[in-house]
This record gives sequence, C-alpha cells and structure tokens, in this order.
Amino acid sequence: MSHTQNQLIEDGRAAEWLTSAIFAGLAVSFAMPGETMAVSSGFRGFVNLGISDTLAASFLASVATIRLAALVINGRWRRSPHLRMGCAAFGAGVYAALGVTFAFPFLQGSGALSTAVTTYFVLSGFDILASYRAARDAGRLEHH
Amino acid sequence: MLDALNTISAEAWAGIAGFVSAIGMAIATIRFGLLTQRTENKAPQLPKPPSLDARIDEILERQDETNRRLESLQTDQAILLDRTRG
Repeated sequence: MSHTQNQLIEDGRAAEWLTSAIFAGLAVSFAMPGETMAVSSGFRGFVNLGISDTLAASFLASVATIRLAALVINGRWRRSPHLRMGCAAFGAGVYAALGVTFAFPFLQGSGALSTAVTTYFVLSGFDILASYRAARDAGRLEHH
Repeated sequence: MLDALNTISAEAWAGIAGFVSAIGMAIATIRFGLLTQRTENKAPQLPKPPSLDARIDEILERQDETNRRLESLQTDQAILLDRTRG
C-alpha cells in the first residue's frame, strides 16, 4: 500500500467523522425555523418528491446519530462496522443526489455552477471511501 | 402509478439517478473491500527464517552465561570482603 493510500485508507477515519458531522449539520440546518428547501433552486428536485424540511431533518438526524454512534463504538460492538458501511453508502447516495440536483440548472444552461456541486461530489466520494474502509474493518472483525 | 411517475420532475429524476448510482458504487466498493480483506485474512503468515530463530537462541544462551559469571563474581567479591574485614 502506497503512502497516500495508507493515509487515506488506514488513517482516514477523520474523513468519516467529517462526512458524518456534515450529515448532522445538514439535519440541524433543516430543523431550524424557516423553509431551507425554499432557499435554493438546488432543492427543487427534493421538494418535487414531497420531501419537506421536517422529513429531511428527521431522516438525516437519525442516520447521522447512527453513524456517529458507530464511530464512537469503534469496533467494540461486532456489528458497528456493518452499520458504518450501510450508513456511508447511504450518505454517498444523499451527497451525490444533492450534487446532481444543485448541478441541474447549470447542466440545463440556465445558471452558473454552484460551489455546492463540487463540495457534495467530494463528500460523496469520501463516503464511498468510508464504505470501503468500513467493509475492510468488518472483514477484519470476521477473522477474529 | 404512471400518473405518479409523470409528476416527478426532471430535476428529481436526476437526483434519484445520482442517489442510485452513488449507492451502486458504494456497494461495489464494499464488495471489493470485503473480498480484499478476506483474501488478506486467508493469506498464510510468513514463517520466521530459521537463521533468525537460531540467532535469538544464541543471544539468549550468551546472556544466561554472562548472568552466571556475574553471580559467581559477586559471590567471590563477597567472600574477599569478609576475609578483609575478619
């Protein structure tokens, strides 16, 4: 394993904490008074699917709590890497969906590219990496 | 059913596509991670080279011998000290 791979995969737990904390942060933003979904055109796709601020906040808060709890448990409970694995895959999906919906106006040629697009795609990429790390941890636990 | 699908906007479909693709990629990565780890788990542990074991034994034997000599020297020293005082 190269030095960069080692830093990203073996010592990359901080990135998993970061993506989980941002998940919790998103939940807090949606839970605050006012309609966050109305703030940006990037959320129009979610509104069209009937996803309200309350629904988004409660769902994101639940997943963020599970993720952060699994990170705190840190393998002391046999199933915690499996939880991390599932939640990281879900997180990657949510970040990618946000990235695509924020990129939609730009792709249609009706606006500039939002900085949120690249941010969400990077977060999605790191959550895919987190699911890989969690899968390896789960495999390691199976062996012991 | 089809009416419900028709009400979904293009933006929402794009979001769904992004969500599903990322989850698909994550699942593929998870499978790869599990497979890699299982292969690593099955890999046999490399045995220690016999020459290294022999060298460690040699060093331990020498250490024992040194300890024995030191004890003998301490005993002799104690006897000499007693005789000098007496």
